[in-house]
Amino acid sequence: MKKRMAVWVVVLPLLAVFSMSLVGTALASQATVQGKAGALVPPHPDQGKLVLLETGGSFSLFKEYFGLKPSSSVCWVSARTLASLQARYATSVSTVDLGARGSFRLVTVQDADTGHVRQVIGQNPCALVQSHRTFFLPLDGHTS
Amino acid sequence: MRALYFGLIAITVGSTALYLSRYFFDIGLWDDFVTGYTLVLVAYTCYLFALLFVHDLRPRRYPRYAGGKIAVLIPVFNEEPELVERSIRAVVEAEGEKQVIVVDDGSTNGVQSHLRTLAEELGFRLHEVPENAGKREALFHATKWLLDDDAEYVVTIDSDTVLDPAALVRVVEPLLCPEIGASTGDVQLLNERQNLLTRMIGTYYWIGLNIYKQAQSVIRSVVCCSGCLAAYRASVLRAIIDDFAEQTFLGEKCTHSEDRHLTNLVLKAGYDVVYVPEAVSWTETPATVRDFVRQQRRWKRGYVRESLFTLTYAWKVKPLLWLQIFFWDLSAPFLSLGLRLGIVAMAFQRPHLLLTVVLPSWIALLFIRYIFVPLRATRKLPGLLLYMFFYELCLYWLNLWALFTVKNKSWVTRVQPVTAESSTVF
Repeated sequence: MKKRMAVWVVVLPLLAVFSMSLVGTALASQATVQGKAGALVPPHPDQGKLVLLETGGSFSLFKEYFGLKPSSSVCWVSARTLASLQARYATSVSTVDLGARGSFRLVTVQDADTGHVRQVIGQNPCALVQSHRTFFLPLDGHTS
Repeated sequence: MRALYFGLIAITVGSTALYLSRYFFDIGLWDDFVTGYTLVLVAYTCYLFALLFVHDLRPRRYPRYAGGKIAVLIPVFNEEPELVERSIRAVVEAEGEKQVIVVDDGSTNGVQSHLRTLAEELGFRLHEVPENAGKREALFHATKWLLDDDAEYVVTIDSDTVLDPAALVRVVEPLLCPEIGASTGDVQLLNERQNLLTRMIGTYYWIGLNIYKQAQSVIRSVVCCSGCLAAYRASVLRAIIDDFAEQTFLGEKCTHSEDRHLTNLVLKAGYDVVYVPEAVSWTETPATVRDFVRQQRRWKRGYVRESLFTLTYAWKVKPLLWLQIFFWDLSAPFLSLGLRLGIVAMAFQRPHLLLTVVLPSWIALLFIRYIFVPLRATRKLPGLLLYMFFYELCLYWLNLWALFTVKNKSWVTRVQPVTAESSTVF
């Protein structure tokens, strides 16, 4: 009995780490593009586009794992700036809902070079966002 | 059942649609889904660990066996003579007052003559069915016509199962409690050290029995009394055997996963079902990937069908079991399809992220989830790592295959030796 209970000295802290890291990461991923983009879009957004820049940079497994590394920025850029980004990097398009302000097309620029992006973006307004990730948690192997 | 089945298909399609929606619509919808899935995962894990904690804190004790008659049913089909002899001899030599019944289910490999000789030597009852009708029919016939009137317990085992001498009495001891209708025991592998695959399967069994089945036993709702070693109160078995024989799914007669359905019927009748780790049996497991996948295809079809069946009644008699099946056991594999598609896409689009972020975090989190393997069965740790990858690359996708082929009856008669088609364990 004592031997069986002894393992819980190890199990309980691990379970706490497991739960908190998952819940923390899941909740952190909610504060992503929508929240930041709302502040960037001007009152009359006729000219310009929302861009999500996913830049490289130094990699930290610890920071990635605990969701601490803001590796993406959301920016409001001119059509010309967007064109120069699209000419160099792979992009994908999605839609972001900004509530009462309506839906905006969001162009994601993948694996962008940090130095080059700084040069191209210039004074365009940007905001850092938490990088979004999905844990691979297929923990259901014994349900069959 | 039909509505539930199509609901499950809707979950699968919905998960895929949600994943794809991130490319076309508001990504927030996908974010919400991932967050919800993660929170349910954490809740389920905490629930599972809480049950195991309760088990360790207050291990269940049962009354000692008091001499009631145990009828042991052994269906045989095309089993190798030396394997079935080993199995029968172990039963005959096991503790307890017994009636041993062997039903040959129309074997075509000539094992009958060996069984006749053995029956004369060991004094068990041998019943021969002229044509193979399946294990379900064999159990039905034996329960209906071959049991002694004074049999209090019925134990079913596979024809390649070898029992520990104390296994019979240990597995029936819970049945001395009037609220318990069935029980099942530990299953270990005779050929675990044969190769890497069998070592992996050994870990798979250990986790299935010592984590999942143990946790189910705390709420007295074990969902599958393994055909390797299952005990039923005779009166309960007699009461449910007609329903068992007549089971249909989407209009077709069911022919497989009979052990899981018997357990379901016991639970539905309002009885508890428990796991007894002290009742030990050994069995052979498939030693090739092809045979193992074939076995798993059958198990997963049974899992889909019987989990759906559980949802039709458990909310009345076992609400905790219903919640567990509804929110995790049944839905998680299909809900997580979108997540897995995301990983597959990532493998092509950003392989460096897969290797540096997803893989380490996945291993770390699975290690925590299965922390009992390194703590209580250290030698099974390599098998755990192998199993984790094998599950993702192969076994997971069989869930989808099972969902869409659940009505397939290609296994209606067993044409392979039972060693390759052993009963469901989980």
